[in-house]
Amino acid sequence: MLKIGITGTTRGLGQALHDHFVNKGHHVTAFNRDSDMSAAVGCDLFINNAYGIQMSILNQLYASVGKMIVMGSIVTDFPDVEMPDYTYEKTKLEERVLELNLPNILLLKLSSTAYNDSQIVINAIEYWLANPLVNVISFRATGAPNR
Amino acid sequence: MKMVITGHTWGIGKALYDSFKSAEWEVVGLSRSNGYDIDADFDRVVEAAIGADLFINNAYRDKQQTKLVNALKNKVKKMIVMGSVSRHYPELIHTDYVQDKQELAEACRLISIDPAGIDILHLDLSFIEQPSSNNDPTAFTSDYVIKFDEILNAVDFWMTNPKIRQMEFRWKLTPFVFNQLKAAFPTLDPSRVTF
Repeated sequence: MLKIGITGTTRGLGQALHDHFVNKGHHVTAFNRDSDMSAAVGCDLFINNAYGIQMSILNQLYASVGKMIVMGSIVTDFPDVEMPDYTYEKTKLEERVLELNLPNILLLKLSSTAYNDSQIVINAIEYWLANPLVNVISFRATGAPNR
Repeated sequence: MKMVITGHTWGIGKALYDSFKSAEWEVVGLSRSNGYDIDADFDRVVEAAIGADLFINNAYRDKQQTKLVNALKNKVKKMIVMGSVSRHYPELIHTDYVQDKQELAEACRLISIDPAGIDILHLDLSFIEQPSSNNDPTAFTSDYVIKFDEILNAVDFWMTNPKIRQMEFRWKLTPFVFNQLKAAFPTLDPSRVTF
């Protein structure tokens, strides 16, 4: 049984991942922007999912959790697209993960297809847990991403 | 289903060739040993790959991998491209090899954002395990090596999740390489290197 922390569990992908790991028998704790993040220290796996608090959680927790999965986005592969806030935030986040270059962090770059199909994301996470020498898994879009 | 692969006689190329063969694919291996040199026989290699359900762009020689991507980008259904994690460290590793792998990755990225582009799996590989028969004293050594299975699993992941048309996996550099780099470049910022 793993001790798993996750943000953004009230809907969508975060909720699906939360439910998946609970059903697998893991000890899963949900965090939100108002949580005391010190409770996440010592997690075996932290899924840094909720947009808006990702950078702050990355910086707070990267050295104090076993593994971390950071949900990035393929929008960063489109340098010609103008930079609305979302793309800007995801670009900064990706740069920070790559700058840290830690062996226990996976950058999982999601496309809209992956975002809407939690089973694919679960499969990717399980691949990484079994094959930890990979440190970036990137889904990519065909054509420009929806903005 | 038909798979065509370059460099099928050795290493990961052979492992992929054998794996698809045992999954009952029609497999076509193209290597120097059977008269398909990706440089000297480029046109014949392209000819042999046209129409494949899957083309594995594995063998490396100078700019030939990128040329194959561009020659086949609308003539095969899917493509797997063997890249290198070294492309992320061009300022540390000044070689034509790194530049070639950068150009290769950019060619893949352009196809992946083209609405008419074929499905591409691009792998940024680190050191791969060697066949036990390899006695080459000049072969690279490393602290860890990627097991064939790890790469086969990544390929399997992509093949069995067809909704995800474009994918990229990036492996880590090894501590051995990191230390070699540090010796060669004393001012190296360790945060630039994954290990």
